[in-house]
Amino acid sequence: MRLLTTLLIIFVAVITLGFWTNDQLTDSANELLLDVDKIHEEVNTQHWDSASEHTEELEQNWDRKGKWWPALLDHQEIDNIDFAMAKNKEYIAAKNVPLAMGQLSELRQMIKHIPQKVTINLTNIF
Amino acid sequence: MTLTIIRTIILFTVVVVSLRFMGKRQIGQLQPYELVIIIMLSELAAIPMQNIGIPLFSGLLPILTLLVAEVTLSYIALKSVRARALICGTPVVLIESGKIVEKEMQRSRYNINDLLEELRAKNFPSISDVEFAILETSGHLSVIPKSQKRPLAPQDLNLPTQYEGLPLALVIDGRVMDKNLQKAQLSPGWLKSELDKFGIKSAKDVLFASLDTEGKLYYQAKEKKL
Repeated sequence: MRLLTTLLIIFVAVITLGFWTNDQLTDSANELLLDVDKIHEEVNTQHWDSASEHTEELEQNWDRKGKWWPALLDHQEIDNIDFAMAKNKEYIAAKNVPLAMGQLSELRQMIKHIPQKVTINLTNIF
Repeated sequence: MTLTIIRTIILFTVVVVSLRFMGKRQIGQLQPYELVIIIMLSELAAIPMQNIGIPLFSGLLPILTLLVAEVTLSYIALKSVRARALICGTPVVLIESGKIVEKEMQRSRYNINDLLEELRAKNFPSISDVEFAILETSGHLSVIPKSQKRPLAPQDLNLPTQYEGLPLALVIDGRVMDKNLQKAQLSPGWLKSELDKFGIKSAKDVLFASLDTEGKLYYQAKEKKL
């Protein structure tokens, strides 16, 4: 009985932690998406200096918020976001609107996809 | 590469600890749900071991979930007879009073050849020697022979027997088992004097020594290193 109680306590703690991490993941992703949208707007209006500045900010935010993501998510997806950020930075430095816009859209989808993937819903269960 | 080794050690430890919590049973004695858990555990641990792209938690969490499920189901099975029948199934009598129960054989999808094979493996070449054969929930076949065919016991001949308990191991690999000495109400001094009688100076020179219920000391000295 003691073993069962201990295991159930650990299990409930893990489930609670799971809900909390899902919330954290969604919050972090939403903040990163705001940054991406801001850069998207600036690239669209060709404000390259502020786009470049916000890209740096996005990278710092990603380093800070996304550092614990590999503990829960497929490492390949995290690597893909890293690669997309690196590409995006270069496209903005080169002031290339179509490529930067395309890359930002891809980045947006990648970040948006992550919390969607861990959300508890019937689609994800089945 | 080092990462794979570290992950393997972690997962191996977790699986071993989980299996220890699940109790001591051999593969052949597992209940159906336990067998399923064992198969799933090995697979769950193997995937994150090989693929470092998969987070370690992806392997650890299902293992924890299975451990909780196993312990919960065993606890329910322990406490409720109905649940036990539902989770583990019930034993099936395949031979009753020397007759094969055809209906149960069909229900269990157990054919005559399987039955004969199991009986032969249990030293009953002839089905006519068997009074009862029960297919246990673990899949084992328990055989109860006819009274005339069962092995002879001292009771049948009215022979008196002496109590035979478990021999106590007193020295294992040169180490004195103090707990067992206390259980036998003996002292390390007694052991030393007994070993002295055989020309052994220290318990460290003994590979194994045990005391049976009649008080006889069995020992084997370690081979001397060249």
